[in-house]
Amino acid sequence: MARRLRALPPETQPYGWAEFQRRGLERARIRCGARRMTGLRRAVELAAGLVLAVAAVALWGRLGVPTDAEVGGEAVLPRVGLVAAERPGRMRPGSPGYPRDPAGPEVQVSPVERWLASQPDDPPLVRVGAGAAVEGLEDRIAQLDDEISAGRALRARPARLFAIQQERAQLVSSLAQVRYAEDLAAAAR
Amino acid sequence: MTRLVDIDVAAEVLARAQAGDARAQAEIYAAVAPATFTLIRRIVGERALAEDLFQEALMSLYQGLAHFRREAPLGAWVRQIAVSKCLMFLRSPWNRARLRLELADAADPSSAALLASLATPAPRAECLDIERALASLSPTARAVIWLFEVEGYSHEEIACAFGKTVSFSKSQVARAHKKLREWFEPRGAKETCSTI
Repeated sequence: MARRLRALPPETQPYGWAEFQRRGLERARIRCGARRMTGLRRAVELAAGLVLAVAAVALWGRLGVPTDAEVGGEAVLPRVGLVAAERPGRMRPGSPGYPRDPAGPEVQVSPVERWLASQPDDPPLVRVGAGAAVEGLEDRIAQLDDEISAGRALRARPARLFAIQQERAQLVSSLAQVRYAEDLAAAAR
Repeated sequence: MTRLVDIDVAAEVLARAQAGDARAQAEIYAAVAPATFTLIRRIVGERALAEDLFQEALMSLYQGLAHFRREAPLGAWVRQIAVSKCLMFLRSPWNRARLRLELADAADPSSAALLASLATPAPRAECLDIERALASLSPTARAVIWLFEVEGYSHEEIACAFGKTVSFSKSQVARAHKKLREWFEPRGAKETCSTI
């Protein structure tokens, strides 16, 4: 059987080099066009999704806003939007498990950071705007902590380290303000 | 028939092709194209489909040529690409749906014409018979038997290529042998070919 199969005559190539190149260019052009259309379609879908999401949030906000009569005439912060999200436990600056710089001297945890660490874990339902702000600030603070650790390990210029530490302190202060505002809003609901 | 795995090009031609020399690339095309098309054509059966996969395979070859380190003959690498393209096609849901439709028509007497159309016109009647015998196999069986008997793949290599076990390869080869023998053993009233 193997002998019979091997005895089959070979096929001639279906076309020459020039035709192969031509077909290759044609396929590349088609793929490029298809990719562009796919990208455009995705952009349109994304835009439509965003519009729908904003409309849904606005509608939900309108439905959720209590009237002045309900709260005795006091102004109440409207619910910006509630998103059910899984928030994995996030390490906060100052919390016991938060990574400290092993190379540098033991840094005193500031009172602000101690207060932040004492805050309860985020509930499953978070406000979209504030939640995003808190996460962004925490991410940036963690990033600066990494830069400080690396700077100390590599013996960076003291002025540079000082500037990063100053920025970190400002961000920690901002984070504390956002969390405090969240606490006030939660208490007012 | 020269196997693809036995084809190689001179180091100088390869170097020029990798540098972008169109003439060297054309030389490589001339060296590997016939054997590549033969391999693909034997595995997938249909000529139009084989041309499509042939184009894809050689385009992949030229796209990756700069990274080819000559650890094996160029033909071995081209063979790997071509077999991979064929098997990807055979595994595609679209192809499986298409084959289901074709099998549904298999009972139709006019399907003999379909089988005949799959064969490349060959100068000898025996070759035409072998072509038809191959065309009567399932695409998987055809691919396995060709890789095993002609391309020299081991059962382990076939199993790896298909993502299956060695037993799969052995059983496919055994079944294909049985079916091919039924084509070539002397038959009484049974026709081996039908008029077109």
